[in-house]
Amino acid sequence: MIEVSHIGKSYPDGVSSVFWALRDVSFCMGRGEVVGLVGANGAGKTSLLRILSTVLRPTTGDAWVGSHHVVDDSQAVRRQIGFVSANTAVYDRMTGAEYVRFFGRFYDIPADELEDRIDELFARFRMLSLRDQLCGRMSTGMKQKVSIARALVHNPDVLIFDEATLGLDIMAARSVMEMVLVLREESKCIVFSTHIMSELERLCDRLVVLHRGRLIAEGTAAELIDEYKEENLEDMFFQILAADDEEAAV
Amino acid sequence: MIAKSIAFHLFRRELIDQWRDRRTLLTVIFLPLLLYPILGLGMLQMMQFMGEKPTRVVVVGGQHLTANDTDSAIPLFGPEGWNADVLIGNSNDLSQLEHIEFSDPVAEDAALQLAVVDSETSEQQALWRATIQRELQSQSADVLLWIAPGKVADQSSADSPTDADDRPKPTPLRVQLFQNSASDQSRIAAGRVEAILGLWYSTNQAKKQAAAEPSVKEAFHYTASELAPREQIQSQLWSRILPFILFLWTLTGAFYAAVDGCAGEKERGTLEALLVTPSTRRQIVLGKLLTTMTFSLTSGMVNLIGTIGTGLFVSAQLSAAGSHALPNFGPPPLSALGWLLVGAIPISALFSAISMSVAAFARSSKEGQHYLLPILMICLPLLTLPLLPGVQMDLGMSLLPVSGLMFWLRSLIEGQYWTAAKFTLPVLIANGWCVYLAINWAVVQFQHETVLFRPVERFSIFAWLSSIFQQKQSWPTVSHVVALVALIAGLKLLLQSMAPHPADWSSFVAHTLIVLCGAVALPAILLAITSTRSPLQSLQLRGTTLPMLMGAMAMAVCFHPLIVAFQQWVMTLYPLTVDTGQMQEVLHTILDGAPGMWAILLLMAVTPAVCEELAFRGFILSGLKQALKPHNAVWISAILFGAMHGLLQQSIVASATGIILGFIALRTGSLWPCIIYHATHNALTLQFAFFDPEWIAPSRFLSFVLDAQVNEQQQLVGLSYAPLPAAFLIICGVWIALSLKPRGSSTTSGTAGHSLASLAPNVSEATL
Repeated sequence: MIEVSHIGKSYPDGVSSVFWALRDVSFCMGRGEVVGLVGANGAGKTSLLRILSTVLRPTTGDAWVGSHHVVDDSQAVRRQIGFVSANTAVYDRMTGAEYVRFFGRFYDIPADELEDRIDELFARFRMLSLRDQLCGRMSTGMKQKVSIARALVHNPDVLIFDEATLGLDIMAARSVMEMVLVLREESKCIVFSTHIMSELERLCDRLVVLHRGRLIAEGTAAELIDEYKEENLEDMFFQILAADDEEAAV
Repeated sequence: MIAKSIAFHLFRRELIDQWRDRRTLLTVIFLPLLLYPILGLGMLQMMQFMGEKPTRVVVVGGQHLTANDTDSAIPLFGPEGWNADVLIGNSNDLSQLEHIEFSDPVAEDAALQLAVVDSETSEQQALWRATIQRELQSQSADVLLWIAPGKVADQSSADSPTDADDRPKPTPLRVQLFQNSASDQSRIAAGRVEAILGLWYSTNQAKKQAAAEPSVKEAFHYTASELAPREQIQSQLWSRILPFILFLWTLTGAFYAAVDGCAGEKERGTLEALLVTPSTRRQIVLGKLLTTMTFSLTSGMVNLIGTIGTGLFVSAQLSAAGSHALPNFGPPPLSALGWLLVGAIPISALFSAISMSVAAFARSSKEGQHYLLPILMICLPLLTLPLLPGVQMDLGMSLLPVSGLMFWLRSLIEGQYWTAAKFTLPVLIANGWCVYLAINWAVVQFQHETVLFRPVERFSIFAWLSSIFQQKQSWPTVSHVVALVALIAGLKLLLQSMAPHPADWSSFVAHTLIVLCGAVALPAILLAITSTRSPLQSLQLRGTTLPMLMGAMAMAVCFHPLIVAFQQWVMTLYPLTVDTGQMQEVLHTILDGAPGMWAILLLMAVTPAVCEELAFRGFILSGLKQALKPHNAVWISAILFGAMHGLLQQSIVASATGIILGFIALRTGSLWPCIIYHATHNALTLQFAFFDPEWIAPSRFLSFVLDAQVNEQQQLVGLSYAPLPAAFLIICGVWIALSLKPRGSSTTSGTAGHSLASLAPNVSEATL
């Protein structure tokens, strides 16, 4: 469903140099698989997810979403994905339903189908009270739920969550996690980046660990814990990063 | 004390924040510094539209003021028109006054009726005025000067011109000037005629007093009559105010809406969700453009309605109070509102597109708002141009963005529908093209990920400056290019304003060398040395082959007919003003003092070729190529090259030639062929400027290739290429251009340059 092949991404750094946010990253994901993208700040997670959502172009390498190339066939890719990030804001002067409807119209969904879909989404995720509420008056967690509804309005096969629970309180974060769990049961292909290890354990079939732009570990949570002989994911994560830093220092 | 220190503490933090915001610094400090020299150059270009135009005066009854009839006084007219003796010792220029005779007896009769009959009804007078207006328009004349020996009512007394002491009494002359105050040109013409009449009167007065003759005053009765209906004069005032208000507020309305829609959305974080929808960037831009246009139109129309309402109120109050302080101030014509609504659509489209293109580039609303100043600095002169007295709507004006549109709207409001209809297409094409470019620029911004996801920059001004001058690069960067353009523009203005106008050959040589070497070549060379690792590479001074050089020279020869034809078309579109023509004559006089043609060619063909190529095809093009696609780098460098020339006509032709030179630079990867092309081109243009028609007859080749137009005195009045040889040469030029072997893109450079005029920055040569 998603194939990432030797992706590299650089940004201009100052007048003459460039900063490589991603170097030679490759991995694959199948339909119905949930992959957790883990990494410290600046590891390259957001760059990778923005490349998959076609808003950034890779400097090197290729990526495909559902057999469509992210650069050459970006329109088709965008029809297949739903994207939610911690940085994505909502339109404050629209109600929850208006906001979701506005984005639904980009996908050529017939008007009555779109209304049914909006009703279903607001009911399924228990956010009926947000339907007619102005987004500007919502809490951060409520806004994020509306954002997820927006990303799901066209029923995409692939969902990309870039630190979707960042900045949310425990209740709101849990609420968002429950939405993702529902989607997992619908066999959606989900890429999920987060700092919270407990979220990864609950949600992800497989983990991809990025550090300083490189993919340094990949596997199921159990495999990685076994490999690094740690007791939990958090310790395993520290261990991987420390080993990589040590290697880089040498 | 504590309060003060906290205030200072906060002040310091705010200051550091602003200081580290690179774009704020750039837009608040550096951009105006860069724009003012460019504005100065732009104003020089605009002077082309402001030059005085000749006045055409229809004279009826001129025989009453000729030498035959006024034997003792200085006549106003000589056998061939105005009497030059009248103006001896005065700065007025008779060449600005054209004298023609009326051809239509009906109009002549109308003038007679208006001048001598006072008791007719106002309807009849309006008909006569309209008849005269039509006649003036048909002869492209500005005013009518009507001279008669006396009133009809006085004829009886004039028949017995004797009084008690039997001395003949001078017949009182009646001089009447018919002007149309709704027309700038007519008002200027009336002023000129009145000045001359005044001069003629005072000269004669002095002469007659000296000769102890009766005062000429007795024989001269002057009145001025208005041809335009009062409503038309009043609408002329509003035709300036209302479009200006509309333009200003559509721009302001568009700008803030665009900043909020683009930079604001980036800032609020809502843009990313939009970017991952299947909509294309162009669709997003067009959607936002429509929103911006709606705000722009609303803002413009609301302010117009407010202005018109206020105008109606003030006018009603003035007329109720019986005030005559502002005789030409009346209620705004309500029909203007309809035309303004029609005009508001293209205007708001233009300003919305421009605002969008700028706002899309801004990272934040704060940064976006700083860009209003540069936009205003560019738009305001264009808005003001059509308001200047004496500036007329013509094809050249109609092709100017903003100005043409403003003029078109003015014509509609003033009821000059034919003028508006005639120029509708050029106005729409010119402004539509600008809208298209601006929309494309905005789309490019929306595709540019560094613009969409630009990080917050922590900026040190010293680090930035040192990065320009200390951290040497392989190639010039865009910052270097901007720095060089600002340097060239600033230094050129400075040197040209400081240096005295050259009066002879030696001072002309010094002036030209100082401006070209000091303001153009030297900054480019110094920047290449200080900012890049390989100055030779940055200036594209790399080896080339003899065929390349020969090819460039042949191209210059082959494309010369094309450039000459283009230049002649530009001159037709934007004719040189009288002042510019005089400057050219001065230049020719100076060049007559040159030791030989070789010296002229060295100074005006070779030197500019070397200096300008180093800057424009060398440093600037190689810098632009690092950030832009090659074809974009070529046309931008060509426009910059054209803009550096003082005359509008010269700039347009220089830009066109710049594109050819940029192409050569890209193809050959070396500056040398560009220099050869530039020098050859300038040499040919100089040859054209000093061409002697006597050279043609003995030479079969020249007779075949050239098409010279000579006047009765065998003086050359125009020189161009014959169509057939020109077509052949151009085809050869294209073939040679395509035969130039391309080099690797990393080694290419290019720019457009040509100009002989830049050689003589002040005493500018109109031919390139």
